[in-house]
Amino acid sequence: MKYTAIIARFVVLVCLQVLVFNRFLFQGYFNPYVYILFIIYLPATVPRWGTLLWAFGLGLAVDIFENSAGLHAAASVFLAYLRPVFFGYLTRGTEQDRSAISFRKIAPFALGVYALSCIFMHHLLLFSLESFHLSEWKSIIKRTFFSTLFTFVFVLLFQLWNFRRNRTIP
Amino acid sequence: MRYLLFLLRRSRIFFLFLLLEGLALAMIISQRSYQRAVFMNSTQRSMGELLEATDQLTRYLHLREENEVLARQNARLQSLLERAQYFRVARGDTTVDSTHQQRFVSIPARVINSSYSKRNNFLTLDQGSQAGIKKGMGVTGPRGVVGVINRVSPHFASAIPIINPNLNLTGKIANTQYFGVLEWVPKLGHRQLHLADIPRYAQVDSGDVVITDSRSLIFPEGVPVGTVIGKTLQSDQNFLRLTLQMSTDFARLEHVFVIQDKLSGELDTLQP
Repeated sequence: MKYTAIIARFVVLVCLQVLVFNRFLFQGYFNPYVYILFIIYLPATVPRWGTLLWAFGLGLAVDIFENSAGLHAAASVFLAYLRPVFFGYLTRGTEQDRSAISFRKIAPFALGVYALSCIFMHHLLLFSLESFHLSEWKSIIKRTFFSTLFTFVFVLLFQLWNFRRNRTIP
Repeated sequence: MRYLLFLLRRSRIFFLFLLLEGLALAMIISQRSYQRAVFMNSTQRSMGELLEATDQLTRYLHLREENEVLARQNARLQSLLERAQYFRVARGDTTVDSTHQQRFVSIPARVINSSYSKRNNFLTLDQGSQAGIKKGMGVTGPRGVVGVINRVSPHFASAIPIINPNLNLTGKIANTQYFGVLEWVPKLGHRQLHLADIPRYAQVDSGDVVITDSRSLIFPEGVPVGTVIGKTLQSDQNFLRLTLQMSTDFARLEHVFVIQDKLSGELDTLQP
């Protein structure tokens, strides 16, 4: 993927998050954080240090709009560092090379498990840092769980759309 | 030395990770402290302009309701004007009226960005130091108390709402002199609030109105906070914790007033 495509994705996802998804509320409490799609589906060919820097910039961009300096940056960098660990789900049982994974050639189920793990780890660190008090662990777990489900629904919708798009354009 | 360089090269990804996380954590911690991060201040203006532009799109949805509330408030204020009142004292030769002096002045502002579903909620207003807003001033809405200004730039200001655990104001039960601390925790949601430290023997029933207290030195006395909907005994067994239904709905807050106290300087000289 060329850099222009990556930058376009970056801008679109930050705008969507700030203008649309930050206004989505479930029970007035749970918020989807769909912008991390950028990190989850960043091509595996981007070097690891590049992934970390992209994630930091992405988190910072969201932070500026949310008035939460550093919060999303910390969670995003954490996810970017952890991402290669979850690549294991994608390459299991196939001959694919880990450094050249193509997300379009992966079975939907494996892709779902991979995305869910990524979302959960990101949200867990995000809500822990946001509350900053481990004594509120019940609320942290609750918010992580429901927000993960909420974000995952949107990620599935995106996958479905992406899948159909690939079929119509062979 | 060579081994050290080798180690650095081999785990450079890990060190980059540590560096970026360290930067992010430093920002979080500096934002939590009283002195806010420089990073947010320098960018706040351009962000504020962008948020204002997007807000113009959404604010039309609430226009009708907001108009109604403002009209009601206008009507109430007009009835307080001097010309709306009847003077029972006959006007004689001495017409110098010096019984009243203006103490609180309201600066109107609009909310251009806000959150009410998070733990540390905040508000951004479209007026700043050029309109006379200063850090520490109170913010009220058409329905009741909103919060306190915590950061000001020339054209914008941000406020901590009462639905933030870091802000504790004083409130009292109307018609009695019992006062306590207004506290909020995330599990209450954006419509409820606690009023803690009310003496156990106080006669409180659900439906009683809670207003701001002049002890807070931020708001004039009598701004509505909410109505009592429940009470529990605190763990120390001597005080009550009341649950309030807030009069301000933070999910649709748009027009607010920043309260300037003209006598606060004089008060500060007495109460250090």
